[in-house]
Amino acid sequence: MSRQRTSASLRRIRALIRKESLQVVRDPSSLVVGFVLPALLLLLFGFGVSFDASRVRVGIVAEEPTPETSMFVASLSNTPFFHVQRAADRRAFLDQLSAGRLDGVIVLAGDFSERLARGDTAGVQVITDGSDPNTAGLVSGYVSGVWQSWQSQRALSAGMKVQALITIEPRFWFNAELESRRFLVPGSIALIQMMIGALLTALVVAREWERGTIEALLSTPVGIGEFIVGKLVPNFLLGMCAMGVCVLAALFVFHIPLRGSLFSLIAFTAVFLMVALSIGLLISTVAKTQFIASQLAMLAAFLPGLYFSGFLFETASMPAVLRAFSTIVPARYYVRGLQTIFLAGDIVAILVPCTAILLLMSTILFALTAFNTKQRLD
Amino acid sequence: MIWTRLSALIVKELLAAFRDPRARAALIGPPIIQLFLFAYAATLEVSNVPIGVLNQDWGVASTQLISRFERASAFSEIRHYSSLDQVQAAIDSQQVMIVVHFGQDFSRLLAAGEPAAVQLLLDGRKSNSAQLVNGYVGTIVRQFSEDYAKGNAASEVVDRSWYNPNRDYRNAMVPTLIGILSMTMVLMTVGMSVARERELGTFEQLLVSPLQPLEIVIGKAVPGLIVGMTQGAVMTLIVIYGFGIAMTGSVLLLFAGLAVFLVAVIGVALFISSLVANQQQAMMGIMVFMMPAMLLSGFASPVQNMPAWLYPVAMFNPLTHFMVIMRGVFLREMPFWLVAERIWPMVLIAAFTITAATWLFRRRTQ
Repeated sequence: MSRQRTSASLRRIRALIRKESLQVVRDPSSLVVGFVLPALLLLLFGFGVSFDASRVRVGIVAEEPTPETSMFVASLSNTPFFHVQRAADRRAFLDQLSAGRLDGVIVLAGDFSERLARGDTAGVQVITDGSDPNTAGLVSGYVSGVWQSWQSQRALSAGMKVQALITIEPRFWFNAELESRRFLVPGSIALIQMMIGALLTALVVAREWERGTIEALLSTPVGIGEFIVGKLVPNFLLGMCAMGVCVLAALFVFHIPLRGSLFSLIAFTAVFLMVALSIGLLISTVAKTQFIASQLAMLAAFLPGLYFSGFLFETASMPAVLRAFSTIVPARYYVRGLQTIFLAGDIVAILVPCTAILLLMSTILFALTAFNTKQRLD
Repeated sequence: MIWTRLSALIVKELLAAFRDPRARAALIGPPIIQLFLFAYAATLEVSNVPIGVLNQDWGVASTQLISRFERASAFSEIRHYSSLDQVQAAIDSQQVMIVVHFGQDFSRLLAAGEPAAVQLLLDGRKSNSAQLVNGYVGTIVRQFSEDYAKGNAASEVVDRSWYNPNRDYRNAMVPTLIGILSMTMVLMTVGMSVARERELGTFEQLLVSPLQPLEIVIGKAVPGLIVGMTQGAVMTLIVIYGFGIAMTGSVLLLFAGLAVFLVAVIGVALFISSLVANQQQAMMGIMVFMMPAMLLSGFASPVQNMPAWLYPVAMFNPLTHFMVIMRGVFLREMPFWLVAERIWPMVLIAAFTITAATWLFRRRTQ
């Protein structure tokens, strides 16, 4: 009898998979987790979040208008980055800056032309809104870029020899257009996979505990292994389907290039999904109710994926404790691999270590789950 | 009569929200975690990253410039590479985000007074961080260039950041917790309340009591407002005294904004709560509202970077307006009339959400 229990039966597994699939499809909250939230996340990160200050709103004050100031103002207005407003007095812009309607104010001092003629330090001042540090940094970067090139152009057209000067030639590999969407969309795919894998699995199993049907199920000849496989297969398939939709959206809606191979994308995702599923299973062995399960899944899977995967916030800049914590966040390795597959190609030096770490993580998590489930039933 | 009924209901709601240990954990746990995350993890700043150097120049100038990189606090270490192949491999495998490349004749050209180029190779997979690092390196190189050619210095732009001179992320992020945490709290208490009654079967009892539907709505909304305002006050104290971020504007304006903002959020929460059948569905509904509310509020990235068609959505989000008020009152010394400009849209949103919630509530109770 005990022999029969341990040996897996294909028929039983098939029946379980069918039962689980029906449960996923019939429950409205599974549909929310499986379809509504992923679509929402993809749209939000694809369209709503953007670090590309493509329309920086600046106010320009020329305290003493001269031909030189209007030339410089013209070259600022000609760059696509700036949306320029003009005034004669800086006070006109202070309230606007305080209201958050301007990202910066550029002041050309009264003696701008005189200083320029003397080759003296500049009469250009940039005042940025420090309450948005990222945009403030970009604004001052853009302005000094325009200033540098305006000066050297001026020197060239005047037939003067360009003095000194080290020219800086930045080359952005993999993302020459500098679109933040290109790294945010792969990052949000990782969050979506995490949500489907962990949250949905945790909810499905917790429901069985909550309703007491798990005892009924396990008193049948179904073994723990079969039970877990039955839970995993439908969620795995759902995750892969969601991935397919995400990839299509990334390629055709957000126009993100896929420079790596489709094979590595699929294989790498499958590996990560196993980690996400095992986190969900582990949570469900600890949580007694669906409510607690969803709370734990948010805490253990979603928040770390959002904050510590390195797709939104730079982990290197965090305090040492958080940096150490980020190394055990699976999403971190998945985000790194996904960004590489989409933007750079199949780079072995990244994909192989990331895959190995993810495999190790899922092995450990599955072992813990099997151990916990046994304990709970005994 | 109506007041005794209402106050009894309000007291009952407050007790119900805090008596259940798992509900209490769900209310108190997340704020603490978020506080921690906001203060220490939510930064777009780039520091402590290694920088790569490929120096094919044998002169003094490049060595001097490299030693300036060593002193820069943003960089943790300098990694030297000897060929472009090595550079390619290092960037591909994300060992470094940037490599500074000096050509063979860098020092010679500079010494001869001719323009010399420095090439910066950056990993665009993280374009935002790469752009920031590009900015840091650019500043160092320009400064060096100026010092090198002393006397006929190329003039630099004078760069000042107001309101937050060091562009410290913590100063920009932590004050927004006042709104975000009280929003979370209110959504959880109010959003769960009707769902819980329905799950426990006490909702029918409430309906057969003498309370009118509108009274029930008020009875559910007021405790949320009390909880949210308390949470907001506690957070304001933590921001000011715990993180030492001074408030430059007026406290009264902040709390006036908070009250209107919370009423708008309570409307949403009641709406979700009367739509769902149990607490777990209420959780899902709250998440579906919270994610866009957070991400389209200007909290993670500025509203003006959004495409034009998303702009109206952001404007209908009460958090967008309160985000401006929070940062404005704390950092930007926002005067009364500028705050008022952001309060009236929230009044409209609040009127809309409360009306919608009451309407749905009536429909569900009949």
